[in-house]
Amino acid sequence: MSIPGIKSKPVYTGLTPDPGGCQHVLAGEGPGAEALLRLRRELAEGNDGMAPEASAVALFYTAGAGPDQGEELAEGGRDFPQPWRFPDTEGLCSALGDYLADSGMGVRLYVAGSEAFLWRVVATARDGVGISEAAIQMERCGPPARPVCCIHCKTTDPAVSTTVYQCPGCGLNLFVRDHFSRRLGVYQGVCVDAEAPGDVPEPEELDS
Amino acid sequence: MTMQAESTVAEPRVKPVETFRDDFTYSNSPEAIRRFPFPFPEDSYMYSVNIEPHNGGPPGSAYAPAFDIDEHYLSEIEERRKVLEEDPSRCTVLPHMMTAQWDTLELLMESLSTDYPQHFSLTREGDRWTWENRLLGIHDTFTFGDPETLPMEPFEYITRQVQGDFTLHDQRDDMLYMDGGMLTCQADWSLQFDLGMNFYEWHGPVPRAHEMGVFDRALKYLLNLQVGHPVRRLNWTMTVNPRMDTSPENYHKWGIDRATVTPENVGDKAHLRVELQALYRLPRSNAVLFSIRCYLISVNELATIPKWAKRFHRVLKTLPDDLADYKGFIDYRPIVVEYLSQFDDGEELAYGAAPE
Repeated sequence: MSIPGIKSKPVYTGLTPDPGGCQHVLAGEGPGAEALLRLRRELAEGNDGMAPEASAVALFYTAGAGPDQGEELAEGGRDFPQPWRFPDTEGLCSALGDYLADSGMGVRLYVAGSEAFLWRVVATARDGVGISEAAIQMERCGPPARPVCCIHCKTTDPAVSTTVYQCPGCGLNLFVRDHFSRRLGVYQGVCVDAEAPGDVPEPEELDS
Repeated sequence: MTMQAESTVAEPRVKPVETFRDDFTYSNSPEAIRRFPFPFPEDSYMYSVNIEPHNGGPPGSAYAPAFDIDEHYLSEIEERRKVLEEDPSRCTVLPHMMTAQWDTLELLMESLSTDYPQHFSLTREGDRWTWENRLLGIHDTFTFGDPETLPMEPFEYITRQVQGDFTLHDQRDDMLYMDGGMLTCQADWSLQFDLGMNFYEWHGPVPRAHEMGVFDRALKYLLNLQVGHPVRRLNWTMTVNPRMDTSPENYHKWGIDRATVTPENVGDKAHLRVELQALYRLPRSNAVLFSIRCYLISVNELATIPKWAKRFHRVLKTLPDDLADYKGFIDYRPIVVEYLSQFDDGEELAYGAAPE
């Protein structure tokens, strides 16, 4: 249904410490905690004996849709400052934006969570504070749900797990194109039965 | 720009307003048909980096002026006004592109007043400019570089007065970015969605061409575009009914048209849609202005030119399925091919897209 290999579809890799950074800011949601624990361990081990000072690492976490792994993050953080924990993504981004605005140059931002969370954090750092996407790493964690924006009514559903789905804004049945806007942080949802009204294919699970 | 004793551009008889929606009163005069930018020099079509200098063309042709004004001028300007009234975001320019907005205004005003002095004039006294558009009854004096002196931002102001869509591209790090545009007659892509994307991203959905290296070569070429040396290419698809606004935003409204093509109505309903695309390097901003001038012709109008009917029949018949699918006419293609077959006697056709 979607055209394979669309070049705008983001490719996510694992988080790895960037030795060029002076400050390392970690932001995670739900199951993203595991990626952050791994990264924090690697940061502590250092690179060629060069580990950042504990004060140069900050950690922001929200459980989001769960699971809540905040306790594990707190336990694993004896060598580093405790994570700041937030009830939701909005609260996390608000605090993160303030923190980044006060930090100096050489910030590296590492984000782990659902795809909607990743791009919400990117928007905070890039559009709000002016941090380059080149200084941001992302690792997608949890189920492969996508943030999708209806091209017709502009309503975004942050966690679409199938193509086809019903737009919560206008009620149209949409298929999910692999075309992705980094500026908006969304995939494109397009009416699936415009040429044959009522002829709506069975939804298929999104697997990436 | 060289001064010529005689104008090589057409002096269009501009028609009263026709419609591109609802009752679809749009049609082409015999003169408009003959100057239609038919895009097929050969019997088959495949992607290529078909870019050539945009430095004029045969007198009266769509290629002769920098920006072609034809008999549909008032109709297309009115259609643009309607689309913007419904969805103002069809014209969006990112804030850092203001210099490119003024570059665009200058290029369009200079070109139009040079090519069509009977319709447009530009008078400059320092930065006090006076623009007259007699077709629309516009007579405005403003200060070049001061947006406060125009009724709207300069890019929207001028592109509301010119046929065709326009996009603005910033160039940084050896890459072009879609950082603004005026899009009201687009072939199924969204400016609001693609805004800010790089060259590869906004071409993401196009099949085959990435793997063929077409975009790598095209980008390399465009990064080296020079001021005063614009280039052009043609692109094409098919559209049911003479509908200019085939936007994805409104696809849920016009998509149904594709199911209405029958052997009886195909000649009037199915249209070849050609984009004459031109690219200009802008002098102050170093941005690239991309003009996408859309021409629509019904199959019946096209068939009044025997060579074009034969050639279009062969191109459509042999077009690979993935291209027909991407271009959105795979379902009704058989009806068009069958209809066109009555005009094709199999005669060998000379190379070239001219009517004879």
